[in-house]
Amino acid sequence: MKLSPVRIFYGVVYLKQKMMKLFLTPFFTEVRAKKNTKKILPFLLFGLFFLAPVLVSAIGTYKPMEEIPGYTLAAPYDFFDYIAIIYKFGIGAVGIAAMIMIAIGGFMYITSAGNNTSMEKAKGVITDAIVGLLLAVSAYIILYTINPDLVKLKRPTVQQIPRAGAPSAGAPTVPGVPPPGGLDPAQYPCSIQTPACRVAQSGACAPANFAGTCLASSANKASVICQKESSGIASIASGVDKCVPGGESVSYGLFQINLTANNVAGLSCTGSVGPLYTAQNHNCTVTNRTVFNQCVAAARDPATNIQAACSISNGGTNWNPWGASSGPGGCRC
Amino acid sequence: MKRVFKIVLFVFALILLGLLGYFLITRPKKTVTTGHISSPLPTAEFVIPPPDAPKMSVPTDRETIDVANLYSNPVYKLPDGTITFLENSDFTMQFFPKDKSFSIAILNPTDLNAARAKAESAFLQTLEISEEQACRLTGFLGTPYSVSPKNSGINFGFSFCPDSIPFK
Repeated sequence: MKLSPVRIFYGVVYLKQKMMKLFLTPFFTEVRAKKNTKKILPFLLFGLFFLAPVLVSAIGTYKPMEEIPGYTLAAPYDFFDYIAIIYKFGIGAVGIAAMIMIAIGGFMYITSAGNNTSMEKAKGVITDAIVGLLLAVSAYIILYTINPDLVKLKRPTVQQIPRAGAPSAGAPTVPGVPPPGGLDPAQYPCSIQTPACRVAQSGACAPANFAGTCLASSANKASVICQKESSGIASIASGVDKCVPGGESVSYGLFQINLTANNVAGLSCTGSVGPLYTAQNHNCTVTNRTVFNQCVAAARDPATNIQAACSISNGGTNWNPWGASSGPGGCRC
Repeated sequence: MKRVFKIVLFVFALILLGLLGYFLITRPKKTVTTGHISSPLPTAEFVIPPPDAPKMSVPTDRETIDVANLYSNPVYKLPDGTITFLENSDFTMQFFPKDKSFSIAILNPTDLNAARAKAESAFLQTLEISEEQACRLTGFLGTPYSVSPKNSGINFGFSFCPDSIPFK
């Protein structure tokens, strides 16, 4: 038998029609698809119901038996990572599948030999491939535009909900503006959580500076009180707590130690200035200038000041003596 | 039906094109953020300069800023190198070399905003730096509890920096 170009052409057309019947027809036959859906759906639901606990138990200990081509899953294995890789692989696979389908459609169109039905079918295959590709890409782009995190599949986290009744639960960076995340007890260790009750981020009141002192175990609370009392300035003298009529400041240093009420560095500070300066009584005088000056210098030294604060707060367990804790606008530490 | 399908496809492609354009235009660009006085803590080491040095280098989280030598004439100096470099009835300022941070306390309870403006101006003058440079430094600008209980503990930052907060 002689192979003429016409015979080859008809042979290709015949093969193509056979291939179409074999591979594509089942996917595009609506009746069959509906029947299959009806059959598959109960199995899917049944499987999902019984598989859910297995999936949940697999979280954290999941080890894939088969790697996904083009992606490597690093240990420790995580089921969520695996899902994320499948998702990424799926996006790539859609592109490849669309390309193949467009090629098949093109081939069908070329070999349709003017047959209107075949041409329409070929056009349909190409259109479906393009629509599928557009859908997949647009789904990704739309999600990415709304929030890039939506396309980064991550382990779901449980957000801590603040206790009802808390004045401003959370970690706002601007007063009055609620925080984007949940409450961070390390940053807001006192019972009132506002920007005014946040641990110091830098300077002499930062929690790291209380390491090695007796306030180490309550460093965060100490940091809040310290920052509120002195703004982190070790040498600060109170501009308000002043003896009348002399005008000497009575509170000094990081924790604004009241020298009419407390002795520091083994000095008799209470004996050098008095009587006791309180919110009600501002009448006091310096009776021993030398000792008083020594007390001021000692109270301005961060180490001595922290030591005094430690003693007054009973090892960091009672911050009530400070207005920054128990007074108006205090943090209730 | 076919015509409707074509129209839907066209509109869909148009929306997708628009989204792609939006995505390309609005994608994050590499920008230099200015930050402000509460920038993250720098990790580079700080060396206390000799008193006669004209300048000292203060590392920030991104760069090193040369400022006037605050150790040449400090108001108050602690053994660990902490210095109070400016002090008056309106404000007091401290440099804490351990974490290379500045602390500014506003002390005038009658007019916090005016005292803050004076403090900011004095800070720039004393350090001989620009507002932009000041915004890149690490630190705290606030007021103690004895001056203003409701404002105490809050880092207000420099008023000329982004993210600064006004006094209540």
